[in-house]
Amino acid sequence: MKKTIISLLLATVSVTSVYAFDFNDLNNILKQLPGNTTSQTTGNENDTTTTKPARIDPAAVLIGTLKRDSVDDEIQIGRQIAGNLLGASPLVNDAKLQNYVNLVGRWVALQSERPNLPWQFGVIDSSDINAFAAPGGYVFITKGLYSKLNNEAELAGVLGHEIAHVVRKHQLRILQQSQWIGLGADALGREAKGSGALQNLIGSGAEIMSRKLDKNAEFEADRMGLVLAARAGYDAYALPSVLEEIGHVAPGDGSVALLFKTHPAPDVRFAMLSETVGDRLDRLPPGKELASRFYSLK
Amino acid sequence: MIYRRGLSVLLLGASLLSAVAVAAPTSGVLIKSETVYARPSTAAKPVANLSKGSRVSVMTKQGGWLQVGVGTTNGWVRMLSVRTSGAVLSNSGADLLGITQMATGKRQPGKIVATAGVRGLSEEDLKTAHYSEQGMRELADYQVSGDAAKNFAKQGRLVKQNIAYLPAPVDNQ
Repeated sequence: MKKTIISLLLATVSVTSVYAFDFNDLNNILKQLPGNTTSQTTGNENDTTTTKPARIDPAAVLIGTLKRDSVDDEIQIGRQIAGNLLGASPLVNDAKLQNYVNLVGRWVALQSERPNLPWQFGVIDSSDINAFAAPGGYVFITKGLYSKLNNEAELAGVLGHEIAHVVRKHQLRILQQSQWIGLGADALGREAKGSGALQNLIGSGAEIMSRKLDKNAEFEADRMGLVLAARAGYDAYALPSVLEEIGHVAPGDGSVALLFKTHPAPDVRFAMLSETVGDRLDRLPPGKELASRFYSLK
Repeated sequence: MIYRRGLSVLLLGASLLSAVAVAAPTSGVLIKSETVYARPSTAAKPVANLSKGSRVSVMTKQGGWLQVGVGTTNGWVRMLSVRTSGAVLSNSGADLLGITQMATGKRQPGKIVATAGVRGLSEEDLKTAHYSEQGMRELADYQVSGDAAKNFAKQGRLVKQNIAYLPAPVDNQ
């Protein structure tokens, strides 16, 4: 569900977006690149002539320079994406709700291979049915999806799916492999503003969250989310229950438009889990649903 | 889930002696051939065998099991083998199916969340979003420690389980 925040943010930043850019940092990187022609509107003549002008996206270049194991970079990227998402849809103003979701989410995340990321969870004030994740441990669920849930185990399953995206770095991989962080040359030479080059690189906009991950990444996140929730002691079958619930929403309903655009159909995801699980969990002790302490929306 | 809601509606209706007709249990379709057991366990006595595509009435869920009725027979079948959502026939065109089902009253569309005061999240919203410093401050305020989460789990009597991740299906498209 829920595609990942990353899906939102990284997208090619629209030309109309205003983004700051640390030209010096970028320029230093570009200087190391042979055959780069990136002079643009900036008033900066950043010209490295080349016989074969290759269009190089400075943002992609910058992302490409990230160390694959740099957690700090990952968190910084995720922070910018998360902040942009919150610019589009603020957190629900309910401290108890937010605290509750953080407790459930953190407990599930502790069952993952990355228990020590600075995990942060939030319910955003949108009637859409969706959830998102951004690199570094930022996970969001919409109020619309939360209202569909029946118990804590289902929340754990949904958060587990998003946690899996972070653990597997699905969105980060997209950022590193594609050039769609298209801040591009357009940003060159603009007034540098703000701090960190990475944040500036991401710029504004959370369109990345509307980008589709590979469907196998979604299936994997479902498999992992189910297991993470089960490891945490919850009913392992809560996530497939949520998929069924979402499957009941009319496909033409606007609240699921983005979700259905970015994820395989819920019935397909359910069927994939069915194939995957088979009899593998037969010996698993029953998990808890904890419907009684599930926080009700005001 | 819908069938749970159906059940609660049923109970509520009974308690109020409501004369309003109560919706039948949620219907489900087997997405694979399955054995129906007398209890929610593969160690229980098999009471029926159902082939893929069989229709059942779903009464309740218990962990990985659904209590279903087929004709005059009742029993338990694996939850992941029964699809209750309206997307059962999604290959034939989800939108058309949804509309058709709604028109024929065969499906209860999911509860539509009230939109007053709450807005959706469109691609355009995402595209034009600007970083919210305040939002990130709030988010950080709600962050909890691992110890707090462990204590929370303890309060809920959640017991950690040692389970390996599941492999991708072999016939993964």
